[in-house]
Amino acid sequence: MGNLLSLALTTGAPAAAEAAPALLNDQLGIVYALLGVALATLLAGIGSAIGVGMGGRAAAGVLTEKPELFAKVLILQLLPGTQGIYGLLVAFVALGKIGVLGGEAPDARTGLLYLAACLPIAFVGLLSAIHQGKTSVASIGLLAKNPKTFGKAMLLPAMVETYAILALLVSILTVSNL
Amino acid sequence: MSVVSMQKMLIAGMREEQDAVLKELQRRRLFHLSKMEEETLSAPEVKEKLTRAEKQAQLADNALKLLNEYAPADEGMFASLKGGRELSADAWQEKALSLPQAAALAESLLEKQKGIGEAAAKAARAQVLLEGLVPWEGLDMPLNTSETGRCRVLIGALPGAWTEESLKDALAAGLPGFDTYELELLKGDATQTPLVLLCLKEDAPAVEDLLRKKGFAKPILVSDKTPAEAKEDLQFEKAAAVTEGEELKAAIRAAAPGRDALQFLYDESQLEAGRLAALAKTGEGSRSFFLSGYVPANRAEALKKQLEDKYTVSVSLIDAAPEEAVPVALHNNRFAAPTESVVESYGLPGEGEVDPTGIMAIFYYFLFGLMLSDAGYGLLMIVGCGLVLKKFPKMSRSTKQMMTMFFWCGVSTFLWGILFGGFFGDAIDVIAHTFFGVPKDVQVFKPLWFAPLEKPMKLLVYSFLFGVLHLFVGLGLKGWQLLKQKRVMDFIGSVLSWFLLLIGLILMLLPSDLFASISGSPIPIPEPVQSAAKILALIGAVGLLLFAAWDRKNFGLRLALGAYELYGITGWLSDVLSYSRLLALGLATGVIASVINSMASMFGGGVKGAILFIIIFLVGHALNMAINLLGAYVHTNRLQYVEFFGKFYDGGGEAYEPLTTDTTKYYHMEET
Repeated sequence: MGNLLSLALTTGAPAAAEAAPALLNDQLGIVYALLGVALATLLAGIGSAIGVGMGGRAAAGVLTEKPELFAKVLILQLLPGTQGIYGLLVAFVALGKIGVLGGEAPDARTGLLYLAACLPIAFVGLLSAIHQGKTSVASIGLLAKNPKTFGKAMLLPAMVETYAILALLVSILTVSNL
Repeated sequence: MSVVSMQKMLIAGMREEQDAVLKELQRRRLFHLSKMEEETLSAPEVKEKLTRAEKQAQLADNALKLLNEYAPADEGMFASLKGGRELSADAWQEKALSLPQAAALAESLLEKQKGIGEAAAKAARAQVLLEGLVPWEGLDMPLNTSETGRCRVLIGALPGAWTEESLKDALAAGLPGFDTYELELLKGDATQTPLVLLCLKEDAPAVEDLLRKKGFAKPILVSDKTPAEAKEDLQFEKAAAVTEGEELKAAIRAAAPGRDALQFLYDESQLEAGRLAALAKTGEGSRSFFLSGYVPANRAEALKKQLEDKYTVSVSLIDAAPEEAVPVALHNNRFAAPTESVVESYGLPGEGEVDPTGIMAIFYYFLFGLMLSDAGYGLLMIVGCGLVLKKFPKMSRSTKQMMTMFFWCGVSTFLWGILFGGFFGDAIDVIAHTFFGVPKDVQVFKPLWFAPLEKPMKLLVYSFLFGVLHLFVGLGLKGWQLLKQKRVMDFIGSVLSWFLLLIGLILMLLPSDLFASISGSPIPIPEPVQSAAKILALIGAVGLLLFAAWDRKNFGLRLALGAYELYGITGWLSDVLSYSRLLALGLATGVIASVINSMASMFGGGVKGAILFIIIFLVGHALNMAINLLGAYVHTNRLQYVEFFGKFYDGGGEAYEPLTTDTTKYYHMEET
């Protein structure tokens, strides 16, 4: 038994050493790519959840005094919600190309490229949504004091979003052109 | 697109007619009162009246809220869209005669509310006392019994659970030799032990002292009745208070028919407050009054005639001086007018500025549609807004404008959806493949132009193109404003030079490798044009350098400011890049819609599949439409406010706010 095992090991080892890189190359590609998909969805989604959560708490406070502002504070609350959608967007386009919802599994190098392509929206999405949430909170306060300033109150958080959109663009253009 | 031209109107009249004239002006809804510079003598008295009117409105509002609490009005979901009930000016006058009754009704209702509060407090107090009585229920003597002939009676409770033995032990330990007493423990619980202790008067102080140290406390209710009798009394008291509260509530419910009168009281008090606020801004002598304000020029003559025919007033019209801050009202055609509120919330055109609404409206609808770009969502917006507009013709001006704006945005969204091949995402294809057996590789609904997801770079290039167009129009408007004010040098320095530089740069960029790598194919530009482009760009750059700050005497400073203006090219770059959001948001709608469709179709064909499909489809698309509608709205506004307005528009104008009867909430005075 022991002999057999050692025989198998000695004869199998060189072949396995050669097969291993090819195996890794074939099978790890999808792992890297899915890691990218997961990061885009996770981080951007977490950012949006935090941002919308902050906005919602501020909005609830305003509504106790001024229920008529509901529609407006709701819009301000939802502004940081788009980053999560952007993350989802990149994730779905990627899923459609790496053999999960369509396309075929990439090799390791391409898989890593997918991972890299997902990073901009993942990180910019996370941080911009949180900061947009903070700006939304301030804008909700502004609206509570002066309901006529809705246009301006909406604009301030929307400025933060620009950078999420730029990150989305780089991510989505890279993912769809890989 | 234009700003309504205004004329200044001065009205002088007799003091006796002041109220009547103000009412007339309010009903005509034309006169924008300007603030007098000097403080007026009547101000304190007027302010007092104003406070009274505002208090009256508050009173009516509170009474209405009370009425709604106990007798909710049957209003339905769209109540806010219905608009006020119509009332002619004469009917208004007649109805105003019954205002004192309405005010009395409001007072009595609020009085009743107070009564309800008091009754509730009474009932609560009785309840607390009743609960305090529970430990003493077994006692058969009045709670305030304190002594008999020779003995002292101590009634009270000790904290914690005691037994007769443990208490006797404690007494024996605390007071050696004290044994002439009678102790009775009533039924207690873990938190307290009620007891009655009878002892000789001479022992009493020492016993009391000892017990107090152990936390002995007298009952809450001390009365000359036994607990059983006291309980009966309290129960009666509580029941009486509850009945009283119920009766008051019923009385409030019975006053529900007075709701109309209260609503009218509220509206009329608001109107009166409006007139008084105007009055606080006017000048008046002992026998005369004086009003100064602005009226749209095309209706000024008619108003002057109406006033002079009806009252003993002198009305004079003068053209506003050029440097005067005239209130601004926008006037646009039916296509552009709905976006006036977008301009208003940024700021009305200030001195020397044009009304941007007309041109902005075209871009607004265009860009909104491009961002949402789904024929299905567009159709829903058209139908939804169209129905609401048709069904509720009397809704407020701002709501109507918003609905009309989204109607046109819907039309644009629909058209872009057809161009890009989106109808609830790829719903038509998915349904055809899943339920009607169409082979997967057959595309049923083809885009009229191209599908953004297949050629994102193409849409990106077009987004930049639309952006450049939008920005150029903005710069052009700035040029027009400058030329209108005859500032030719400014026009050359900060508009023409920019045009030359930017057009030159764009022509140089188009045939380059950089552009080719983005768009996929370079746009060939003939050689002569290329050389001309270089010259254009050079002239533009030099123009900016020399003329952007042409009016500075110090040449060095002039050049430095010119160089700074030239540095603004980075701003142009980021402005154009900002239009990439057109692609991002357009893709977001389409991709998420297709995700919803593919989720919905996961259960295959057949009846079960169809039912699940419909449920997922409805919920998913409702969510997607809501979030993308919000995105398209916010980002269209942003592109207008930051990129477009940034080029030419400050918006520091004062709004035209005439004295009006449209501040009412429940009734609407018919226009005459």
